[in-house]
Amino acid sequence: MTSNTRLLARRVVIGGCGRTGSVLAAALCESGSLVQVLDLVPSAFDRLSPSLIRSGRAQPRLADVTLASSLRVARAQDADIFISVTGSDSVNITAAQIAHHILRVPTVICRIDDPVKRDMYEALELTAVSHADLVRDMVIDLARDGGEGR
Amino acid sequence: MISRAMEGRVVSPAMYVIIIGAGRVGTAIARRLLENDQEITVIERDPARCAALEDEIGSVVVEGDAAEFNILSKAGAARADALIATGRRDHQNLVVCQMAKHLFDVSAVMSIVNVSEHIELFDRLGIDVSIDASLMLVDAFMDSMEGLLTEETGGP
Repeated sequence: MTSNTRLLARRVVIGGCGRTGSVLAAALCESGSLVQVLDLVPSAFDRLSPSLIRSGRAQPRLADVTLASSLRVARAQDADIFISVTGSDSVNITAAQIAHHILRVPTVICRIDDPVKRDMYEALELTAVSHADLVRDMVIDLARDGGEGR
Repeated sequence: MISRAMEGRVVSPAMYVIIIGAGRVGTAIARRLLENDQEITVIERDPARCAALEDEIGSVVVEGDAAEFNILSKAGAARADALIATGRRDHQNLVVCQMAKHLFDVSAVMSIVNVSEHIELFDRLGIDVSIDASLMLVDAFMDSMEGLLTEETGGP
C-alpha cells in the first residue's frame, strides 16, 4: 500500500480524522509529506500515532472545515493538496468547494459516497472518490483473482 | 386550489415552490405562500415535525433528507419554479441548492445562510439568493433603534 504513495506533495491538509483521514495521514507522512489533520472533535486525533505527532510530520488541529476562516487559520491556502474525508458528503463537498474556489488550493480531492452527488460535483470541477466504488473495485478484483489464487 | 381573485385581490399566476425544512422559518414561508395561493411542498427530515405540519396545513410534506436525489424527485423538483432552503446547517443548504440547480434545473434557488462568512461561498457557487439571517436581524434592530432615538430627540 505504501509503495505506491511514494511522492507527493510537501504540504497536505486533510479534513476529517476518522478512520480514512488517520490512515491517509500516516501513509502521506511516510511518503515524506508534512500533513495537517483537521477535525472538530479532539478525541478524533487519538487515531493518529503518537510518534507521528511527536515527530511533527502529522499535525493535529481543531478546525471546522466548512468555514473558510477556520481553514485559513490552519493555513490550508498554503497547501499543495487539500483532501476532505469526513463522514458527511455535504461537509466534504462544502470544504472542497471552499478549498478550490476560495482558497485556490492547487489540488483538491474529496470523498463523496452518494454516486449521484459524486457525478454532479465531478462535472463541477471537483475530484471525488467514493468508498462504495473503491470497495466494489477491490471486491471485483479479488473475485476475479479468486479463480487463480489460493 | 381556490383562487382568491374573486375577493378582488391581485394574485400572480401560481408558482410551485419547494421549501426545505419545517422549522419556524420554513413553516412561516409555507403558510405565507399558501395564503397567496401558491403551490408548495415542504421537505423535512424529522417525522414529528412532518406530522405537526401536516396537521396544520395538509398533505404538503415529503419526509426525508433533501440532499438525496430521490427525495427531491419525489417532491417534484423537476417542475419546481423555486426552492428555498431554511436548514440550520449551511453545508446541507448549499448541497440541496446546488442539486436543485444542476440536476433539476430549478430557476430560482434560495437559501438562508446561518454563518455570515458562507455568503461569499454561496454567491460564488451561483445560489441565486442567499439571506444572511443574523445580519437581517441586526439591520432590523438598528433601523428600529434609529427610529426610536430620532423620535425621542424630536428629530425628523
